[in-house]
Amino acid sequence: MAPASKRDRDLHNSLLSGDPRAPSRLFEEHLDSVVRRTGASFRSLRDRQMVYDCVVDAFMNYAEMPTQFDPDRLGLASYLTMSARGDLLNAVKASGREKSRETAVESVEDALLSRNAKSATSGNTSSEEDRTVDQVVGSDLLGKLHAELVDATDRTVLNLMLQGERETKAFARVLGIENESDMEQRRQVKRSKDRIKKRAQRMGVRLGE
Amino acid sequence: MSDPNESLMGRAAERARGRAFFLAGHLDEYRRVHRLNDEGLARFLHCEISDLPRLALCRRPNSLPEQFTREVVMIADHVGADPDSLALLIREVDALTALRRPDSRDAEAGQGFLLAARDKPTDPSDANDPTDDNQ
Repeated sequence: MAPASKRDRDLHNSLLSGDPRAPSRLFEEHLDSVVRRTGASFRSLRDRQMVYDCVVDAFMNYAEMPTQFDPDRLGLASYLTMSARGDLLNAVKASGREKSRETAVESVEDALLSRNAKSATSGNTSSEEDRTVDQVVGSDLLGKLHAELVDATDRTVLNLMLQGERETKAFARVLGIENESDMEQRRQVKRSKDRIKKRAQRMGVRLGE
Repeated sequence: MSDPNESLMGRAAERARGRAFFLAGHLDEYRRVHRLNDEGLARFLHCEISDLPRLALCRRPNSLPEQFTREVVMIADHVGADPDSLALLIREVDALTALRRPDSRDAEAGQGFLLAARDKPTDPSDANDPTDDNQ
C-alpha cells in the first residue's frame, strides 16, 4: 500500500495540531473523490443519500479523531474510502432493506469479477490501494457465504460462478457428471447453481448469471 | 449550484450541524434565532454565500479567550469573513446554549455574559475585546 503523500501528511498534521481550518480543508480536498470511489463500489444502491451520509460521517470521524489514521500505511483518500465503505455496508445491512443489501453486495461481486477477468475498464484503472480496499470488503462477504456452504462441491461451484465460468462442462466436472448427456448435465448444473443462489439470497447476496 | 463539489460541501455542512465539533451548528442556530436565510447570514458575516459550507466545516474555536480570538481570525481569513461578526455570532450562540441548560454551571456564566452583552452597545466591533467574557 502506498503511504500518504506530502500534501496529505501536511493536512493530517494540521488536524493533529488542532488547526481549526483543517477539517474544512479536508472536505475541500477529498470529499468529491471519496464520494465517487465509495459510490462506485455501490453502484446499484438506489439510496445515494446513504452513500453521502456515510462518506461525510467518515470525514467527520477522522477530523475529530485524526490519530486513527496512519499516514505511513496508506493515503488519506484510501483511508477515508475504506472507512466510508465499511460504514456503508453496515448501514445497508442495518437498514433491513433486502434489495439494497443485495445490490450493494452485487456491486462488490462485480468488482471482483471484473478484476478476475483482467479486463481494462473504461480508463478507470484501480490504484493498488483501491484493489486492497476491494479485497478487504469482498473477502469478508465471500468468507461468510463460503461458511454457509458446508458441502465442498458447493463451494467449488460457487468459486466457478464468481470467476464468471460459463461452460456447463466445467461445472459438470466438479459435480462428477461429465459422462451424463448434455441435457442432463445442463439440468443438474442448473439445479446446483440455483440451490447456491437461493442460499446466497437468504444471506442477501445476489449472484449474477 | 453548478459546481458538484460545492453541492457536496453544502450537504456535508448540513450533516455537520449535529456535531458540536464543527461550526455548522452555531451557524444554523444563529440563522434560526435571527430568522436569516443563507443570504442574510452571509451578509452579516461579510462573506459570500458559497463560502458558508467551508465556514461551517471549520472546527469550532476554543473558548479560552487567548485561543478564541486567534482561531476566529484564522477561520475568518480562511473564508473571507469578518472576524468580529464571526466572534459575535459564536459568543451569542454559546450564551444561548448555556441558558438552555439551567442545571449546569455554564448557565450562570451564560447569564452573566448575556447581561453584560445587554449592557454594552450593540456595536459589532466590541467583540474584538477578548476579555469580554464574564465568568
